[in-house]
Amino acid sequence: MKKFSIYALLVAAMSFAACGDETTNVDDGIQDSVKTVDANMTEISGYLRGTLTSGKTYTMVGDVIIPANEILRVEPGVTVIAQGDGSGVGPEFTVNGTFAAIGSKTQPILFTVPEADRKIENIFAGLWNGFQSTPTTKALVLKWCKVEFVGGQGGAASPRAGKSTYGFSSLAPETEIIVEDCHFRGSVDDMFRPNSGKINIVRNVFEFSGETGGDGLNIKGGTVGNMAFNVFIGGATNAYKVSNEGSSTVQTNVNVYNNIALNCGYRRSGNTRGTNINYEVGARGYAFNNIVANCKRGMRALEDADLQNVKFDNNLYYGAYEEMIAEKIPTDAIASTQAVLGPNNIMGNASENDPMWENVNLKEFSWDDLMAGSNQKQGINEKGTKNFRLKSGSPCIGKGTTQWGPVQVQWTVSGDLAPSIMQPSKDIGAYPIDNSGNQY
Amino acid sequence: MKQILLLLYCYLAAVLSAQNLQSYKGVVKDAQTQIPIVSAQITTNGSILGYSKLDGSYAFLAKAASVEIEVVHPDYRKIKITLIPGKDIELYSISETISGVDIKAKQSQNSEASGRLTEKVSMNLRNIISSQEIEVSPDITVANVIQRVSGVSIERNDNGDGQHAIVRGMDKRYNYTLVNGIKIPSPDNKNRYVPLDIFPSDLLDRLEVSKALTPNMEGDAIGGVIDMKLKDAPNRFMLKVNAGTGYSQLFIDRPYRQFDYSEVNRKSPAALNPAGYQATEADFPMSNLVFTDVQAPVNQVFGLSMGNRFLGGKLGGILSLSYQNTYRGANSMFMSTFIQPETNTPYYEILQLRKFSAQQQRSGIHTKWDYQLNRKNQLSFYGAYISLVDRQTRDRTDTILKIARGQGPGTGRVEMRNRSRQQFQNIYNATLQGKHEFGAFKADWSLVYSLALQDNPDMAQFALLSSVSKDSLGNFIDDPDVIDRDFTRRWINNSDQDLAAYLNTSYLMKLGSADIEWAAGGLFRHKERSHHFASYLFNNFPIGQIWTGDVYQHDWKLRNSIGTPRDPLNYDCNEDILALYAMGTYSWNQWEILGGVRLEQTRFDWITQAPSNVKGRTGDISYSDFLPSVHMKYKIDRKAQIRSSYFASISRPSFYEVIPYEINEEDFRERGNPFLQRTQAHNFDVRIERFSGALNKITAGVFYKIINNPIENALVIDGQNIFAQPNNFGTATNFGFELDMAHYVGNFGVRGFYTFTQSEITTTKLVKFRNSLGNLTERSETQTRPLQGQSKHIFNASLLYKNAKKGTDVQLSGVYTGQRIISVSPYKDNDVWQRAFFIVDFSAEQRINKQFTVYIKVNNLLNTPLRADILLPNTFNPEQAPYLDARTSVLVREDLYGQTYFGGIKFNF
Repeated sequence: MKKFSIYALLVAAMSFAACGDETTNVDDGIQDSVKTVDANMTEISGYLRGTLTSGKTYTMVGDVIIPANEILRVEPGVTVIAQGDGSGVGPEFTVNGTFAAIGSKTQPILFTVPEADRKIENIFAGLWNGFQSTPTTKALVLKWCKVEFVGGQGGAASPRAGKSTYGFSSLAPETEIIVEDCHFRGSVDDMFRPNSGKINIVRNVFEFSGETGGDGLNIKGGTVGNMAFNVFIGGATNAYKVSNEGSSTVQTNVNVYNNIALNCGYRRSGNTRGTNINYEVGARGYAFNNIVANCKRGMRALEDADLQNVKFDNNLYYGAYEEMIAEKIPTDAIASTQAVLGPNNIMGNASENDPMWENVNLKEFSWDDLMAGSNQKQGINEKGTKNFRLKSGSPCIGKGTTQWGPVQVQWTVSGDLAPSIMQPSKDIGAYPIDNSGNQY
Repeated sequence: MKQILLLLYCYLAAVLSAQNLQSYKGVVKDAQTQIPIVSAQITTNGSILGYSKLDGSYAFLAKAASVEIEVVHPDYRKIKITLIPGKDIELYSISETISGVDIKAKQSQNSEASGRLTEKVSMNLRNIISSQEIEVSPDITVANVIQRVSGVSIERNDNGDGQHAIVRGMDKRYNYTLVNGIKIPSPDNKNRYVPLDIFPSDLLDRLEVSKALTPNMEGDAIGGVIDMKLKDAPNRFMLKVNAGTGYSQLFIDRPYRQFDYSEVNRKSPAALNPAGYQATEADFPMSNLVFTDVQAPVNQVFGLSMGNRFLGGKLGGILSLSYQNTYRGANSMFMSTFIQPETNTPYYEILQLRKFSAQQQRSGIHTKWDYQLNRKNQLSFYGAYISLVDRQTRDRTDTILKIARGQGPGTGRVEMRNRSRQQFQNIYNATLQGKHEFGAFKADWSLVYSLALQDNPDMAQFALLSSVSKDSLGNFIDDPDVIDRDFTRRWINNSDQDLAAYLNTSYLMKLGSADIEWAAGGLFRHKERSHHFASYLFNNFPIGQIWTGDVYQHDWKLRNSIGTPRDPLNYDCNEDILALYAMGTYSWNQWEILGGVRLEQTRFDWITQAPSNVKGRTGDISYSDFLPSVHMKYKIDRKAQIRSSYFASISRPSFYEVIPYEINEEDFRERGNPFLQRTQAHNFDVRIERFSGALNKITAGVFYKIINNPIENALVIDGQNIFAQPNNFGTATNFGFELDMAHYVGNFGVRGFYTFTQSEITTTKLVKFRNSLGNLTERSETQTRPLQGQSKHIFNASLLYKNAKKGTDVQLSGVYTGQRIISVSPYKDNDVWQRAFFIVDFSAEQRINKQFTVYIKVNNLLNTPLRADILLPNTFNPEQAPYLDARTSVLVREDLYGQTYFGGIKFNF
C-alpha cells in the first residue's frame, strides 16, 4: 500500500507541474548603434543616418544600413565609392527606412566602384549591390544619380548572402520608389525588380542591363506607377516587363509611355525569349508613345495579362532587318497582342518608319553583330554619342496620344523627395520637341 | 450446429477407433501469445505425421491412444511430448527468454479465453503484422508492409514506392515511429517523421501499429504509432539466408538513365573550406551531369540472420544483415498550373513530361544481445545501422503552354531539364536496456543514443531550350537546343541526434479477486539538430551555346562564390523533452481498465545563421502537456470482447516551421511562425472484437477525434502583402469506422480490412477576383475539406493459400485507396485530389527441401497509375492541351511506375 501512495503522489505532482506557463521568446536581433554622418566621416558602413554632404567622396567599406524610420540623404555632387570590406563580395545600401539621393543636372551624384575597377571588362562583374529594400522600406529616391557596376551576390552579412541582387528592389506595397534623371550602367541581372511598391521611374537612361538574361525593369505583383521618358539600350531580355506574378492584394498597374528601347533582347538563350514591352500574368496598364527600335522582338501582351485593361497604341516599331519585322508582333502571342493593339501604332516593313533621331545610326550594327551574344560590340549597349532628339519631319512628332495619363498613385513623400509626375507627350519617344522629356 | 458437429465427430471417432485408428486434431499455437503457428512439422519416430495449416490446425491419424511426437518449427523450440487426441500443442518461441514473458501474456495464458491474439490481449488498440506474414508477403520495405494494417494508407514517393503512413486519414505529421519501442529521430531535413522506405522489411520480427496511446507511450501521436520490432536473439543456433534478384518492367520498356557520381563531393565548397571561401568553377566537378542509358538493370536483395545462445543460454545474440539494390522509376506527366485571376480556377502553365530513374540501395545491420544475470535480471544491448542511398536522375521535357504558343498546338517553347541527385539517409541506434524484478515490483530502463543523417550532395540541374515554330508555309521548324541560362548545384545536409533515458516501473497487487498493476515512469530526451544548405547558381556563359551532348564542351560562370551561408535553412536547434507518467491497470472478472496520465514538458530552442541583426535569429519555446487516458476492455464471452478508450495527445510542430525565417525574394514571401501552437487532440475509440476458431477474427470499431490547432501551410494576407506561413486552424474533426477480419479454412485464408474515414478541417484560403473598381485582387475565404491524405474509403484484402505439406505459399494482395487530397492549394477549392486507385501485389513461395525455399514477388501487378486532378475546370486555355478534357477538372499528374519482379531463394538452418 505504501507503493500505491507513492504513485498517487506522483499523479498529484504531475497535475501540478502541468499548469506551467507556455512561453515563446524570439530575439529582436542585435542592432549596432546608429551612427549619424558627421563632417569627418569619409568611410561609411553599418547603421547610418544623416546626410552625405555635397561635393564629398565617401567610401563604402561594408554594407550601409539605414534603419527603419531613419533617413540617409545624399546631396548633389557626392561620390560614393563601393569598395567593400575586402571579402571580395561587394557592399550594398540596405534601406529599412528612407534613402534619398537628390542630385542635380549640374551636380549629379555618382555611385561607383574604385577607379581602377571602372573598366568596360567589369561592366557585368557585379562589383557591388546597389540599393536593396526590405519589407519596412518607406522610400528609395534617386534623382540625378549615376549608378554603375551593380548586381553581384549578396554579402555574407546580409540576409541575401550569396543570392543574386538587382540594381534596386522593393518588397512591400507601401514602399515608394522614385527614380528620376538617373543613368544606370551595367547590371548582372535585372536592373530593377519591384516585388510590389509604388514606382515613378522617369527620364532615366539604362545601359548594359543583364549579362546573360534579366530584364531592365522586371515588375512583379503589387506594383503601381509609371515608367516614362526612359531610354533603354542593350537590355538582355525584356526592357519593360510588367507582371502581376507573386502575391499582393494590389494589382500591378503600370503605364509605360514615351520610352525608347534600342538594341534590346539579344542576350538571352532561346529564340522565343524576350520582348521589349511585355505585359503578363494579370498585370494591367497602357503602353503608348514608345519607340522600339532594332530590338529582337516587339511588344507583347500574353493571354494571361489583364487584357481588358491593357492597351498598346501610338507606339512606333522600327526594324532595320527582316528578322526584327517578323517578330514585330511576337509570333508566340499574336492573338492576345492583337487584342490590345490600338489603331495608331506605327509598324511597317524593314527599315520603314525611321524615327529620325538626331544622331543614331540604325544600320550601324548588322543582325549578326546584334546576335553575337556575349561578344556584342560595346556600342550596341551604350548611349555614347547617340542623340535621340527628333529631327524635324520625324514620324514621331505629333503622333503621340495624350488620351491616357499616368497611373494615379497615392504618394506620401514630399518636398524634394516628391516624384515628378510626367504627363504623356504628343510626340512619340522620350525626347519631345518641346524638351520636356529626358534630359540626357 | 455445434452439437451436430460434435455428434458427427463422436461418430467418426467411434468408426475410426473401431479400426484402431485415432484421429488427432487440434491447433499448434504460441504458448505465450496463443497465436496459431503455421507449418509446424509433427513427426513420430522420424516419420512425418503432418504440418499445421494456415489456421494452425493439425490433423492426423494414428493407431495408438497416444503418440510420442516431436514438433519442429524454425522459430520455436523443438518439443517432444506425448499427445492424446483433441489436445492443442503449445510451442515456446526461441526468441522468448526465460524472464521475458510479460505480465499480460501470462495473464492471458491463465485466463479463460486462451485462443487470442496479441491484438486481443493488449490493453490498447493495436494491429500487428508478424514476421511470417511479412516473409510470405510481396513487401520488401516497411513502407509496403504498413499498408496491410487496418486503417493505414501510404503516401508514395516519385518512384511509386510507399514512403510515409497515413493512419486513419491523419497525415504523417500526426504519427511517430519506434524501433523496438524507442523513438528514432528523422533524417528528414525539415520534419519529424521517419521515412519508412528506408527500412528493409526482412529485419522485422513484427510490425505493431498502436492507434490508442497509453500513458507509458509518448504522447505526440494523433493518428498512430508505428513500432518496428526487430528480430530477437534465438534460443539455439539459427541461420537464415535469403538472396533474390529481379527486374523492373519500366526499365525493360525504356532505358534506365544513370549518372556518374564518382566525382561528387559530399560537402559543398563552403563546407569544405574555411569561412569566407570564394568558390570558383573549378570547385564543381561535372561528372554528375554525364548521363548514360542502360537497359534493364538487375535488382538484388540479400538478407542474412544468424543467432545463437551462449554461456549455457545466459547470453544470446543475433546479427541480421540486409542489402537491397533496386532500380525504380516513373514515367510522369505533370501539369503545372496558374490561377486565373478573375475566376480563381486553374489554367495550364507548363506540361512537364518527366522520366525518373532511381537506384535505391538499402542496407541494414542489426544486432541484439541479451544477458541473463539471473532469472530476475536481464541486460540487453541493441545496435542498428540503417542506410538508404537513393540516386536519381530526372529527365524532364517541358512544353510551355501559357505562353509562346501563338502558332497553335505543336508550336512553342520547349525546355529540357536534366537533373541528377543523390540522397544518403542513415540511422544509427544504440540502446542499452535492463529489466529487473523484485517480487511484485518490476522495473526496466533504457539508455539510447540515436543519430539520423541526411545528405543530399550536389543536386545538379541544367536546362536546354528549344522551340518549334511554323514557317510561312506552315511547316514546323525545330530550333537547335541551346543551353539555358541558369544551372544550379545544391547541397543539403541534416543531422539529428538523440540522447534519451527511459524508466518504467510496475507493481502488481491483489485486491480481493482483482489484480491491480500500478505503473509509473518517464523519459528524458535531448535532441540536437543541425541543418546546412548551400546553393550555387551558374549562368551559361558565353550565352547561346548550342548543346553538343557533352557537358565538358560547355562553360558556365559561377554567380555566387560564397554559396548561401545566410539561407534560413542553415540552423541548429535543440529539443528537450521530459515526460512522466503514472497509470494503473485493474483486472477483475470480465473487466480490464487502464487509466492514467502523462505529463510531457517540451523545451525547444534554435539559432539560425541569419545575420545577428535579424529578428528571430535565436529564440526558444516551452510548454507542457497533461495527457490523461482511459482504456476499458470487457470480455463478453470467450470469443468476444468490447473495448473503448479515450486519450489526449499532441503533435508538435516541425522544427523548421517555428523558426521565424523570412524568404522575401520568391513569388510569395515565406516566413516561419514561432507562435505556432502544437496540435492537441482528444481521441475516442470503441471496438468490438470477435475471435473464433484459432485465428479467425472480425473486429469492428469506430473512432472520433477532435483536433485543436491543426497545422497547415497557408497563404495569409497581412496588410497588402501575402505570405506563405504555417498556421493553426481552429478545430478539425475526424470520424471513422474500421472493419478488420481474418478467416482461415484449412489451407486457404482471407485477410482484409475496410476503413471509412471522414475528417473536416476549415482553413482560410485565397480567392482571386476582380473587385468593384475593376482591379484584380485577392480576398480571404474559408474552405472546409478533408485532411490532406484522408481517403473516405480504404480497402485491403489478401488471399492466401498455404500448403504446409508441400511447402507452398501463395498470396495475392490488393489495396484500394479512395480519392484523397495530395496537395493543399493556398487558393480556395484548388486542392489536388488523387483519384481512387487499386494496387495488386503477388507473392509465392515453394519449399524445395528442408533447407531451401524459392520465392517470387511481383509488385504493382496492374501497373496502377497515379492520377490527380484539380476539381475545377480550365476555362482559360484548355485548347493548349487538346488531349486532356478540362471541362470539369484539370488533370495535373499522371505517373506510371510499372511492375517489379523478384525471384529468389531462402536458406534456413
